[in-house]
Amino acid sequence: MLMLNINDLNVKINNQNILNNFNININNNEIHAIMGPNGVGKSTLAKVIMGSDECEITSGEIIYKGLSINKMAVEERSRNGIFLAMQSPIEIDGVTNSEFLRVALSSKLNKNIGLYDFIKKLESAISDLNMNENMPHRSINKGFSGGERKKNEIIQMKILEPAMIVLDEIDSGLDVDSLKIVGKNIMDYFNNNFNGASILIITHYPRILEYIKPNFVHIMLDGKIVKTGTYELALEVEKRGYDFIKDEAR
Amino acid sequence: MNTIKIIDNKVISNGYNDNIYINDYSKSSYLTIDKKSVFIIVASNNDISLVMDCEYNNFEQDIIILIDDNTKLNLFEYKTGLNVKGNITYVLQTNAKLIINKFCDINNVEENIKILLNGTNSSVEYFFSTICNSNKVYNMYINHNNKKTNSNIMVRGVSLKKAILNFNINSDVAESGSESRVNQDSRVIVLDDSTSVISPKLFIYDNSIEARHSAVIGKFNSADLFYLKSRGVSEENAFRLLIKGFLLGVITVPHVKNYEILKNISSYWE
Repeated sequence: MLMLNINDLNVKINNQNILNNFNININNNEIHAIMGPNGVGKSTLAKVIMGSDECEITSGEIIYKGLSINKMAVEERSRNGIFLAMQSPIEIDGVTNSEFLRVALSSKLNKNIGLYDFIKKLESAISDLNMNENMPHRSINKGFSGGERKKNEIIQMKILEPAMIVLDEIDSGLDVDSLKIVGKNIMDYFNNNFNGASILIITHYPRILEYIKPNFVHIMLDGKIVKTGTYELALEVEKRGYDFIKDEAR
Repeated sequence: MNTIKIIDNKVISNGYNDNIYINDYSKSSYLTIDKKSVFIIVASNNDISLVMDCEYNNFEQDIIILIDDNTKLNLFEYKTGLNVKGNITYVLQTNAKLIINKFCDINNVEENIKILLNGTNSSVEYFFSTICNSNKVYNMYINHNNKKTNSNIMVRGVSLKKAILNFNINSDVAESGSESRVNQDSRVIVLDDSTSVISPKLFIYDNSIEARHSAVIGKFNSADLFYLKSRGVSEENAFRLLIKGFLLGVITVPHVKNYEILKNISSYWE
């Protein structure tokens, strides 16, 4: 089954073309990695899938589980199972992680969540990610290190149980041990999700792909995919840089 | 004027009457004031915590709080009511320290807040939050009357509907206030058709003073809203969370008042 299908997508931010006839098909239970130099539109892709109003779709279509979501509100996309782990998760002072997640989960399930069940689920996710047990009572990402913020994104993923997961540079800010923990948690979720899940991971480095093993690796240049391969392509990019792909694309 | 003395954690009331209630909680004294002028003297070698609950309706109130030498007072002020003109003055003596956390929900209020840093090395930290859908004016005067005095004033406000929320904050450091430090940090979120004015003023008469101020009036950051909505939270709930976070992020609310204040903030959507 096709999970996410992007057809000839053109996107502008601040009146500047960022995605140019971008295409990708992601099936259920597939992991796709996207790599590319800075400024080629990788994060814009992540944002437009989630529905950020920064992005103006000028043409093309994003189809999720068979339905066009071009005009779907951000919160509706989330409730329907799309999740974006952000490159720079923001800090919101005064709103605790547990309060935020409980509101989010209640919104998704369209019913009030029992406190006991919620706390149990949250504590389990916190333990899996090796986070401090005080984390639920702290303000969202306040005083969190870069690595803790990324772990918090994965805790949120585990609580909300999405089907289409977009990971925008989830590896940045993570130390070696944390990278392993985050990678393992994402793969555990992916492998044990009975309803099926798909992952689109945006990264600069192949190290995270040792844990989150992609079926496909795509290279983006100038707002579109110019080359597709397997994990070996990621290793080749690390070794040779992007120049050889730029040469091929010319 | 009623006089209340709080000495070494013991509340000694002179002129105690039906309008002033003092309850002892395990860690803080709890003071309910719903009328009259009140003079409170606080003197202790130990830290003192006081919760002051003021409910006003259609009247003027004068409160003076004197913090004696070497006394540290943690004060939580909770103010509710309607149509009020209030004056509150804090007088700090030598080495006195005052930490105020305050939440105010009064419709149509004009409050004059005076902080007199009279003693050497006295300091005040003032954390204040308010939400309104009517007119509110807060005039603050912080006078550094002696050397090595510190003031840190942090104010947060959310205005809704057609509210007008004004903060006039005046920090005044006399020549006698050498080596003092002054900080003002004021932020207001304006929603709907509401308006706000912040007038931060610093009157500095000595070159040894370290002074800072910031004043921001604006909307919530669209990135914050996007983040919350990207987790399935509706726009309305996202605003509620952000408002609550904005108002409570700056103040420390004692457990005994937590539920009441959350309910108070939520009432703006009921």
